[in-house]
Amino acid sequence: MDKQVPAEETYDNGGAIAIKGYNFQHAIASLIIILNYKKDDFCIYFETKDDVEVSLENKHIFIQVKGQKLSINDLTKPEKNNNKSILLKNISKNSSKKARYKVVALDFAEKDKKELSINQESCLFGEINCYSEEQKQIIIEKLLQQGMTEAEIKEKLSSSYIYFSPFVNNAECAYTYLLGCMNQNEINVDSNRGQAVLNELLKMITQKAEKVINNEQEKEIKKLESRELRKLFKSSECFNNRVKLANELKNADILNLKDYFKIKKELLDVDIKHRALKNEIENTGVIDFIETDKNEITAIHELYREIAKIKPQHNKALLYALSIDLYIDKVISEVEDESNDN
Amino acid sequence: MIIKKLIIADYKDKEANVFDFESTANIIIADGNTQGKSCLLKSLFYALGMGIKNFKDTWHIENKMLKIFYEHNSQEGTIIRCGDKFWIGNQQKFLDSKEYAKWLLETLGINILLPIRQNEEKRTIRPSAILLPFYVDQDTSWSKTIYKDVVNELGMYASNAIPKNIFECVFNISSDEIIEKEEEKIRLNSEKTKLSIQKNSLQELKDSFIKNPNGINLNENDALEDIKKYLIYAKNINSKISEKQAKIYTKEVDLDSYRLELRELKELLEKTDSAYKGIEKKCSFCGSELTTEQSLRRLKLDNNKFEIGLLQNERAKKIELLEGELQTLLEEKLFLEKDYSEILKISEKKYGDYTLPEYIEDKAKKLTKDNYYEIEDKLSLDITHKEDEIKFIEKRIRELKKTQKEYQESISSDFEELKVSFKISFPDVNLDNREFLDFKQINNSGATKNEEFFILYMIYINLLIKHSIIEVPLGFDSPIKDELDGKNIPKFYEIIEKIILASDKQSFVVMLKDKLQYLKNKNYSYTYLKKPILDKFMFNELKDEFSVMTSI
Repeated sequence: MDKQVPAEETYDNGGAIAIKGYNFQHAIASLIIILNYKKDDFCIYFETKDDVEVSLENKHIFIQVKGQKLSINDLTKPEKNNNKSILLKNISKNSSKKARYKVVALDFAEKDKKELSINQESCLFGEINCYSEEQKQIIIEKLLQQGMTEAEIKEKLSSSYIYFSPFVNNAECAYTYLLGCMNQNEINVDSNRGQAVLNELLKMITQKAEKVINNEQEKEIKKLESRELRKLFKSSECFNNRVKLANELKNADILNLKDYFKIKKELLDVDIKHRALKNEIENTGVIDFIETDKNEITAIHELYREIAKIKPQHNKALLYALSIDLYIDKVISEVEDESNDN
Repeated sequence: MIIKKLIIADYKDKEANVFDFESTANIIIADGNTQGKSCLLKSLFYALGMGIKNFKDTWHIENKMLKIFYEHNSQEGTIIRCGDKFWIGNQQKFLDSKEYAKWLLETLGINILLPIRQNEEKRTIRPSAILLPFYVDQDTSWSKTIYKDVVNELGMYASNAIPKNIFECVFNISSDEIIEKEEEKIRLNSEKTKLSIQKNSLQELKDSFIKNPNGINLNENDALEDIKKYLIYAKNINSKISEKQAKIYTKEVDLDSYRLELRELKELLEKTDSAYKGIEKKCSFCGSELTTEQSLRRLKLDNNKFEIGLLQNERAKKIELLEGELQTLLEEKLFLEKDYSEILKISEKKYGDYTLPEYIEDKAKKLTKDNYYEIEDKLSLDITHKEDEIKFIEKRIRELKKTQKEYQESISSDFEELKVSFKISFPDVNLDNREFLDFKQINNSGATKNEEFFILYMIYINLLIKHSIIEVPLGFDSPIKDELDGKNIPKFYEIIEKIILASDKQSFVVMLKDKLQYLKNKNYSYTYLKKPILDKFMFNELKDEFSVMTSI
């Protein structure tokens, strides 16, 4: 990664790419998001009743995440501080029929792993492992000692699965895998921008996970929904698109080479130096009449003409940069609207 | 100039006549007054170009064309006058009054130019001025003094010019040429002085100018070959250096602009970073926490930081590349400059015992020396020429002065003799105070006045006959009235005959028939006039003489 962008060795890039504070649990949450964000009812919570909670396809999934290689024994062994095993903590949540219980581990003891069977219809991961009857029996025995009734255990075990992380427990492997996964799931990772969106995703997960709540109502703040995620991923694509749009304007002979280089810089300055100007233009409502389902270049050129009427004193490059930025904002905002319509 | 014939035609009344004249004395005669005698004499001199003041009211000169047939220096010619136009037969062209005056001077072989009243520097000539000494008019020549106010057109000239300057010219005692030559002498002298000053200045600078050459000899062909070779080489290198310099300049400009951009990007990155930090926890724009807006903003800034980094990287690479190119160019240029300074060492190369600069300096010394002597020689030669011209002109001035003095003395002495001779005949007229070429007013009155006029005219006519350098017929018309001058009449005609009629010059004298008795010799040419002097029958016969005028 570093070798691809050698500039960072020399220049302070503000850590845009370097993802700090690696957390296996958050990496797994990211994986879940990447795999499922497109589903309309997808909704994810962090550090609530369990490490991760997902609401999807009328199911409510409680997920325990463990960054170690586990065995059936590890799953059922009570922990010293509270006398509760990993699995018990996982399945002791909600008892509705919609509930599902999943443990995500780094790996499983070879002997135990051999006994697992694969269920290929997992709504969350595509495929997931189910415990064998013998393993279930061992589990029941163990958990009975931890204060749960047999019937309860049996019922919950029927909805309990184990999933193994596709990446090993270190940052480089995790992020490489996740970026690949993003690419497969139509999240734009061109020109290393995937790092930025992954970074932001992890930042949101971390912040939401760290947020301490006191009641059920406050739980909402720890939630991420499909529409938010789609918007996030779409915006990454859009930001990546900015230079591409400028380039197309140049190719369409609307911009000369000098303006093109200027625009590239102005685009990066819109939210710093030109924030007030942008707000002012936004408030005139010119953007409302621009249609985003047509040719992008035509739309941007039209927007430029309107803006040039309002602000004729500014140079072409800046006004085009503002047009592109405003256009992209509109495209992103319409992602949300689509979801609302749905 | 001898007038052989005069034709007068009145093209309004369709009348004409022709008058033939002899080359000696011609007497215009009539039985009584008002027959047209004076009119014919006036017309004759009018035809010659005289600005006659007063024709009789019945004689409409404005309707008349006059043609003179003359002979001059054995050449015949015609002059037609009609108003202010003159037709010169020999030249087959029309002249205006000024051009005619010029022609007349040329024909007569004299140069007269008179100073005009307003500006004496300016000189012109009118036909009347040339003819003035030779014409005495019945009406206008006898009022204040001789030859004054005779014609109209001489009022423009300075008062002492008329008639004194004219007579000086006609007697060839004019100082005009002397003055002209004196002026030329002054001009030549000043030119000579100028040349002498130049020569002196040159000589004063001689020592600082001239350095004696050592006479260095050097194989010029070898040197020239070398110079040619080196020049081509130097030109080549020079153009290469310029090329490099242009490239260096372009690169430097680009480099500056990239460096500036890089600084701007660094600043932008710092600002973006600080904006990012501002919304890392809680959105500084909207105050929201853990919202999509905050997240999007963060993502955008993060993206921006990344892209700034890309741009920085791009620029840094470009700068690095440019710096490398610039360094190469500078080294190449330095190399070329070294080459160039090598070429300059040609000046140290020896051809035989000397270097090229030494040889060139020596050549220059020689050229300067040669040049100096050439200029000095030329100045000396010019000065000699001027001196010769001055000597020549001084000689001419001396000659002129001598001739003029001789003429002056000769004519003056004749003038004095004539005065003496007239004093015997006219004791009442006192000419003691009248000097030669003194045209002061005649103060006498009555008969004595007429006598004085008459005597003076006769004296000058006599002088003209004897000394005039031009050949112009004499015209004389007197106002002599019997009742006024009764006792002296025979004496007048005796003198007229003696001075005018007896001379071999052509003359036109107006007389009444009854005065012929006073002439001793009757063998003159007579033109008898009887009113009317023009004839309708003659018009048809003579009109063709003026065909050149009517055809226009």
